[in-house]
Amino acid sequence: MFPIIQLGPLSMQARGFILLAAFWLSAEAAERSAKRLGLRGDVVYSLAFIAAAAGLIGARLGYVLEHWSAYQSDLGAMVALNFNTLSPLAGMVTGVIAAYLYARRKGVANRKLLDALTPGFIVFAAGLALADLASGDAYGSPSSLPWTIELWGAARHPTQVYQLIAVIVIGLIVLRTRRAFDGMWFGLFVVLYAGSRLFIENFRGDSETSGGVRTAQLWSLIVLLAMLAVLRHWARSAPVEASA
Amino acid sequence: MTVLKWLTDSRRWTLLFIGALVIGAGWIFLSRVENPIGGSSASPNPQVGFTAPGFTLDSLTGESITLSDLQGQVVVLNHWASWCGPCRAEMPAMNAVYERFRDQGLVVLGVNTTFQDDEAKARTAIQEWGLTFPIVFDRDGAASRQYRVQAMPTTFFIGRDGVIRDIVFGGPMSEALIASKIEKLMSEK
Repeated sequence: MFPIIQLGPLSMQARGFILLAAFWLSAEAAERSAKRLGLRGDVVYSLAFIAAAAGLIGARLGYVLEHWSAYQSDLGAMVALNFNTLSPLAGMVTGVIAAYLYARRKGVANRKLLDALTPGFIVFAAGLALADLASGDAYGSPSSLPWTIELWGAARHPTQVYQLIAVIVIGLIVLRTRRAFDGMWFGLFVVLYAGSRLFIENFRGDSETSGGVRTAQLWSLIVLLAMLAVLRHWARSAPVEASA
Repeated sequence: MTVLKWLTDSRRWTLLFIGALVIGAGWIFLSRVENPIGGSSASPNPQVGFTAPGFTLDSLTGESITLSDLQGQVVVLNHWASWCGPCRAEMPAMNAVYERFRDQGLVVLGVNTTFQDDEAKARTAIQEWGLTFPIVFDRDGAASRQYRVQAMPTTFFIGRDGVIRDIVFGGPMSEALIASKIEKLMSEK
């Protein structure tokens, strides 16, 4: 829809611009909620940036390993300002590991930290939906409903808008729930977000499938059920505390 | 407090878990599709998963090149202009990849955005760089509009079936980057 933002001589993909802004806002949100939960805001803020930096490096290394035959003779090409050569999964794994190690060193590797980060996850999830809307990614399947959007040559389900609305509703539900135990906000967010992905994927026009089944839905259901099991364990074992 | 009750009470939690499992699995079953993107049968669009929009343009040597005639080969479609720095910087890499894979059925097609370039300057540049891959001239901008090219360079990686498989906005691309994007496409039949 608006893939490129022109800032004078500098052109930037709207997608990248929105994601960058969303990341910055989510770090701010996490920092604030950390302070409210009695954690050090600056530690959470640094954690976000360490995770992002490690994630970027990991994502590039992952991509290079996946395409080793192309890179082995030209290792210098590993270092390039290009967002087209990243492996999201490798990036996520590296980012989480780096964040965990940093939190452990700072003595805050606990479930309360996950709750403190949750407002950040909510903001970023909203940014992701907006970025998809701007670039026309994660598009819907053709439909004749009255609220379709014209995209890629057809009237389609505005799946990006569905996801954005879902994230806003999830955010309101999660942050208005009183934290009865550490990890509750995080767990609730994961369960509800996975549920929304599971539901909305049905209307997507770009799903990867395996034997006719949309694989993103399978993963969403697995994550949802696993988190429910973890939440039960946390709720039973953690002392109920009365923090806001 | 409700959420806590649902999580700590064994019967309620079991109900919640089984409910989520049954509804989730049911929804997945209802959501099954044969081929959501449609592959090569989908309408042409400048987006991953869609057929690459067709065009016929004059080449450097004067003969016309039609994109659909290249079906069966892997096509790297690069939109460029002679005044664009990153475009100039990636030309040697593209030529090297073209020379390396052309025998295996790779076509690099440079689309000069002539409507916003100087054709004479573009021709001089092509000679200076010693490019061996075909270049076409988009004099009225129709092809660039079809591909919604808003920044340069923009490169589309098209599979042997004519479907766009990847898009790289901006540059310069390294030889390794281009090779990494076509590897899988080259091995397909």
